[in-house]
Amino acid sequence: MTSRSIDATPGAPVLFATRIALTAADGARAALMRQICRFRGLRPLIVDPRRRLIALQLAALLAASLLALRLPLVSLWLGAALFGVPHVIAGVRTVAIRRRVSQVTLIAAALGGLVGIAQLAGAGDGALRAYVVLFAVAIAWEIRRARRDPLLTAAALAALGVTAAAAFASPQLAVLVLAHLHGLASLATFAILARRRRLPAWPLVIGAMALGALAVSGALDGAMAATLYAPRGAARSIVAEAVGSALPHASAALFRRALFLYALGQSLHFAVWLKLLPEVDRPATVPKPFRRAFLDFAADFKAWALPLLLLAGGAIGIMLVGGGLAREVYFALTYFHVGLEGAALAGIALGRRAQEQHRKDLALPESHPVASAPALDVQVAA
Amino acid sequence: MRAWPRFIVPLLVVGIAACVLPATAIANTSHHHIGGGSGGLDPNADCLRWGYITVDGTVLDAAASPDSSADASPDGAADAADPADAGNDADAGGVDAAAPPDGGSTPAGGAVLVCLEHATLFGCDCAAARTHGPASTLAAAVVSAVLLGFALVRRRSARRRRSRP
Repeated sequence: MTSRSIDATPGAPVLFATRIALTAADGARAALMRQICRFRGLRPLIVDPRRRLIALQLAALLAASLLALRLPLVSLWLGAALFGVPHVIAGVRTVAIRRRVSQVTLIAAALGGLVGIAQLAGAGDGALRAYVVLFAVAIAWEIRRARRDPLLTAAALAALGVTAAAAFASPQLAVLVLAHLHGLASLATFAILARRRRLPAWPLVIGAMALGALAVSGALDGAMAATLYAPRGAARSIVAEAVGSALPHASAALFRRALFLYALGQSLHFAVWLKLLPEVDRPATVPKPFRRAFLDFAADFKAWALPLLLLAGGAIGIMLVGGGLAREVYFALTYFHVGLEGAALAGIALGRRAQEQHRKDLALPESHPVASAPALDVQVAA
Repeated sequence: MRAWPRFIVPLLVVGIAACVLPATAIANTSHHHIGGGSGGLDPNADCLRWGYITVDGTVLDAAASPDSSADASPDGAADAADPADAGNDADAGGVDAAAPPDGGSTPAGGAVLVCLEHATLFGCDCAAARTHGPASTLAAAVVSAVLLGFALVRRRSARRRRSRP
């Protein structure tokens, strides 16, 4: 474990700095946990995964709903800047590495990335139609791969075909619907996977449904902000995103409600991919150290681990100061993940194989042994 | 064989730069959150809602018919009258006649399409100077070249280190 020196390791300075930072973060978190455990009422939040998951869901709901009510445009700005690229990486890790979507879905996602480049070059509705086709193919393949009852499969494929045809005919409307469905899909994925591990997902599901019903009925209108603030540098992109959350020419009230639902869904889906689903997937009952999380990440992504971490960190800075252009590039280049996660949800919801594999994974003490981490274990052990 | 990961970061930078450059050059013709460029010069790009103002001064939400003053939306009228809703001094307030980004129907009977509500902006447009003109192209090219060169130098150094007895 200690046979290699830091100097001879690729990316050694970055790894060394990472090791120092992670060690410091682990120390700080351990001290914080010790303080929390001194209070009998708070101790279960550390040692009981069920209660911790409930607390996390309630915290996510509270933060997301407050931001969506009072500062929806700021919520969209900070959400994409801070969590955008990290949540895409976390989503790919969850659905493509740990759960193995089909090769067809992966190819569709890769082609979706190329369509994103075309979108940046001004492809317009042609790019939107290409997304519709790619997403439909990926979802259809996952439905077929699930090998459920032929009637169920045929019905699901028929429904998908009709939906895809409608989306192809009206791509702008499809983008609007997808914007809202994308958030809902992450909640559904979380609910299904938490239920399979017999962990509670009801706070998020019931909370999101209740907030949605209140918003649609107009009960929250009085609590919504009259003035919508947006950062000047990214205003053009954020306003375009906000306008896209409602039908064209919606009234002020309908626009506010649609914007609230969209901002709420966006915030919750960031929470799902970055915190709640990793909590569900983690076999241990207590939070794992940051260093261990780093090693697991390295084991999953191998040679891509360090570049992806740098990309995630760099993207946060670029999107905070880079204005609307950085946001537009981010949205275009990562739109493929909407279809990838949709296809993964279809596979998770329908797939018996996936369910069995998930049970097997849970039976193992660690699904990703540290020994498979390339070189990084040497750094931490040294 | 194991040297290729060293090129991932520079290649990512070059790839992203290659995507950013055309994005800076095109106008923002598609206002939806899917992305696709933000280099347009539309002064009403921060407009959240559009509506019609008729010749007699009645303000209608765009959802209402411009031909019928009976359909006037109280929300739209309130938004136009309330300066707090209309945005800040620099970017909003008053009536900005312009076409909506998604192309509204042609107003009839002298009605003019206007922005009913702007976003209230804060902070500075710090990226504006960097994202326009050839300077950004040059900067991206320089960064990409430096990173690629750095990767090549590191690769040679590592090879020399490995070949030492």
